[in-house]
Amino acid sequence: MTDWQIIHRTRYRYPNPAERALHLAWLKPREHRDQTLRNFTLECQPEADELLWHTDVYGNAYCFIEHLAPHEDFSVISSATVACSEYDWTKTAGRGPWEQAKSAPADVEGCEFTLSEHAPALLDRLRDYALPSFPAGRPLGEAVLELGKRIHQDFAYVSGSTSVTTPLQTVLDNRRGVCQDFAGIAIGCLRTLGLPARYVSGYVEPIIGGQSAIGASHAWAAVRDTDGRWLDFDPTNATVARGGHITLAWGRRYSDCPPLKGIVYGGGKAAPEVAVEVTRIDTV
Amino acid sequence: MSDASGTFADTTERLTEAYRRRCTGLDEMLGADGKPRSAWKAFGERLDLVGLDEMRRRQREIKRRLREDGATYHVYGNPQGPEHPWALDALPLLIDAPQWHRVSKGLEQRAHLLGLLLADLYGPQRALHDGLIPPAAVLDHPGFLRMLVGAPLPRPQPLPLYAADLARGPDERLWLLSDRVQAPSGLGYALENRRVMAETQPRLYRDLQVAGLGGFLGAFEQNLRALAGDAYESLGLLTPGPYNETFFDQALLAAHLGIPLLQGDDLNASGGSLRMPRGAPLHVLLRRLDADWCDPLELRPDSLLGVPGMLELVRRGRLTLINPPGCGVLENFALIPFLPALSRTWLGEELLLPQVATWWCGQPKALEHVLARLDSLVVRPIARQLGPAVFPGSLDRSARERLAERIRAQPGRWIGQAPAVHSTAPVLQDDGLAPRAVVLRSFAAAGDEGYAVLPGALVRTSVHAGDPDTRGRQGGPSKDLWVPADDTAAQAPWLRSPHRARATPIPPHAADNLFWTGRYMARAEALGRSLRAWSWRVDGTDSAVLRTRLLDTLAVLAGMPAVPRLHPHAALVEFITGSAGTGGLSVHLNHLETCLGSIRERLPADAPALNRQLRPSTGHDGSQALLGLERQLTALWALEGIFSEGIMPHDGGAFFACGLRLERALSLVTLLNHTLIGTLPDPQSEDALAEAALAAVGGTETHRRSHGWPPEAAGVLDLLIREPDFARSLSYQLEALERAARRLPGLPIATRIDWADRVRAIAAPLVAQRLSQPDGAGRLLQTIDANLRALADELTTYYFPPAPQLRIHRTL
Repeated sequence: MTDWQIIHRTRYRYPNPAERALHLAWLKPREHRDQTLRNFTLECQPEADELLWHTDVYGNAYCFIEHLAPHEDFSVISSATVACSEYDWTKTAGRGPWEQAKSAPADVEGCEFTLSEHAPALLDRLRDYALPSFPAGRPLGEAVLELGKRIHQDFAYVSGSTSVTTPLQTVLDNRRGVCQDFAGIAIGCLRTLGLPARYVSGYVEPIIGGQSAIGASHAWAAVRDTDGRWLDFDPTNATVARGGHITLAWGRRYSDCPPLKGIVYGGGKAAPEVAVEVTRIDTV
Repeated sequence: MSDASGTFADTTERLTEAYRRRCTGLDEMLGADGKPRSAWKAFGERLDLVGLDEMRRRQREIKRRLREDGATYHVYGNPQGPEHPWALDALPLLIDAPQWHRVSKGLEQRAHLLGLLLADLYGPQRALHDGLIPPAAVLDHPGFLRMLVGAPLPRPQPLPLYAADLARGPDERLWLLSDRVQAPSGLGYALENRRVMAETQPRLYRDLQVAGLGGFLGAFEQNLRALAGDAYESLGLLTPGPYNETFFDQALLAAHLGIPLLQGDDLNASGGSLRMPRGAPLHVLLRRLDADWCDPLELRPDSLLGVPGMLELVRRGRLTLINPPGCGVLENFALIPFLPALSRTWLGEELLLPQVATWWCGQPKALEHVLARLDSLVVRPIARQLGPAVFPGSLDRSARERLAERIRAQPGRWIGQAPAVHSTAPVLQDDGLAPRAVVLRSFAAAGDEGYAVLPGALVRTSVHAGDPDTRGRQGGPSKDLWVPADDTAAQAPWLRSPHRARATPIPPHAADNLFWTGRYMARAEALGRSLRAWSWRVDGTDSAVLRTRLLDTLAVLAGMPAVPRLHPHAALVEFITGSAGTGGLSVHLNHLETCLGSIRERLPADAPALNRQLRPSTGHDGSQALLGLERQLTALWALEGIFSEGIMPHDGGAFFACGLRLERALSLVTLLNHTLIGTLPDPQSEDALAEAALAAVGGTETHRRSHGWPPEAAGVLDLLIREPDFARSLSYQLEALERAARRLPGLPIATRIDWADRVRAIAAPLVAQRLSQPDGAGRLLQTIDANLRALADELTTYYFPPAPQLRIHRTL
């Protein structure tokens, strides 16, 4: 197990006072087999008038935040300590033929994560892109990792080249984007083949020259294996997602679990200032 | 009933006889043997007795009533304007009691089953896990709102209001065409139809012993009250606004229930409750807004119609929406094939209402079936918001191929259906009765035990006999469904809700519209009166100076930037007819009509009838426009009287009065500023202008009696500005404004007093100063004008805060 310390700050400095604000935040790391949450705090500045926690349909914790008084400087700061196992699924899972992992018609979870929101023309393009990695009978894990590698090779990571509203079609046309776009491509490809795939929001350990550095919000994908286990992989970094990938939440797509979204009355134009620190806490 | 003749007229063929020859298929009135069905026997005889002319007279009376009530259906993109008069056929549709009883039981059962399904889909999803419904039929439907899984639902029935469209099938039974639960429309129209039918044909209505609608409405209302925890004042109806196609339906229902009609920006979801500004929390909203538009925080981010944060209140149980958001997943054609088995498993009953045979293409066999028989089926997406029904039989080969392609690409989004057979019913036309296809929409309202079903329906007809399209935009007139009453006590056409005295705050939109109703009324009146008084002066006078002055003044009152460069007579006509982008009387009146249309549910009873009198005469040539002026002014005065007397100050009348008095004062100041104030050309013109100003305000006779004749500028100024007993003077308007301000509802007393005192302060110099000098009067009027405008702005910002600027920051 490795412990990670995460501090995630989002700040808006409004040119005019914001009269009132409502936000929803998926900022609490969820627990799963390979991840334990040791402690967590979420703080708003100014302090929230209402802050309520809910659990969404996928089991993610999210909170509703309300500010009733005018304010010009708004921050949400979450900090968490998370313990993650270094488990690598490639050794034990995803070894059966990929066709066996397809969702059956009566499978509720499988159906939820196989249905695609894309138009038929885009689905055809995604299928064409995916197929070379999925010859008949190939083990699921191998196929998925290769798909991730190809996305990594074929698409350029260009920070700021897309926004949260950029359609997948554009990403496919321009062959560039950021992590959430690559996750979107991978998920879209898997679903056209009938494989349940989900979007995972989280953080990734930044390694620069072997040293921890400023980390970032990240997104990757997961595919469901024949036994129902989810296998996470990261097309942005062409790797299995493990250890240094810290999970916040998951859903069908980005909009199911954005770290923060909101509606502000007044305020004027303001760009978010986001800072994420992911630090490895060495365990003895 | 006409009792002109006791026998059939020999010269004219009997109505039913002629109808029999026009009927070609299954008909509501005539059975397969060509004889009237049992429910229609008595009615058919009367119809023959009464004859075509009398029925047409009744039809005209019905049309007049509907017009007076302002009954409309909005049609987008209609070049004749968006408002389409609501049409009702003079002939009711009759169904016998045993058959309607069976239909009622079927509707009750269906509402119950769909309620159970709703609670299951947003809870344990057993129907999906047990294989009763294929998951994709639900999960891929755009009406399934995942953020509401686990949210509380209304009790005891999750679906407080259920509506269904029905049509008669070849086996003579009524078949279910579709379920309506998202925000079913038509109850208001059904009430209106019933009222107008019962009032225009009272003897027929009584003699046929028709079941009244009061019992149903009582049950519906009682359930609303129970959901609101007996706090009736915490109820409201959420409307998409006056431009929605069924706004009349919504306004009528709100007025009937005695609950405020609210738009999204009348409301704030904050601090754990939903409120109007300065109002108490609202607990229950009858929703006529599709769920997608209800909350831009969690649903469509581009919606300005909803209230951000509303879903959070629903999740926390602080707000009940009726029907609950998320129930749109039940308006789902993909469910139809699976409901019989669901009913057997969950209720242990067969479905009582037959449904049209339907195949969901998400199942390979069904897909094959549909593609193989494409020509003979109706094909449609599983949800209405995904697109309309397609009749592949009417497509050419390549279009049909493309359709098959689309279905194959996303089979789970499509269904195929056997085409529904529609029966016809007689609709009155100029030359007799004509058979038209009919569809019935009836309603079921939840109660403590099960559902109460409306003993009636909104019936829609097609334009042609063979055409099943009865939808509002394309269809023919509506009809009222009459079902025989169980007991005579229940026959009242519909009962008004018991009165509850309570103080509900006026929603900002309503307050704003009442205020502007007053302002536009006064604005139109000032211009109309001036035009009427000055037309001969402008047309006939030799004095260019006088003519220029008067035309300039009219341009300002008309809100036009300058006098149109036309012959004076043509310019006068232009001030009346106006033109797009500028001003003119018709522009003021259009604004007035828009305001009136937006507060339909608050209008005093006689107002809608007058509304139409405001419209310009048809044919826009000059003489017509000037002649129509008289009628328009008369209508304005009548409307003003009806408003002043028909709405109590605390119920919104004070807003109207403030607007009216404020605008009258401002118009009068404008008028004086442009006629009598400032350097006057010469004594002769001065007196002529004084006389013109008097005439425009309607003070000629008063001046003659109290100040003598001919008038002088100083005397006229004194009368028009200072005379407290002259109802058209500035001083009088300000006093009335002060009174109205003191009665503005929903304000802290201190603010009310503060405003009233400010009006008094504005008026104070009028009492103190004697206005012998036009110069002094000019300065005084300028100050008053500026002060009044500042006050109007303040009132507006306090009461009618501008729509919140929604800014959506989606952060990564």
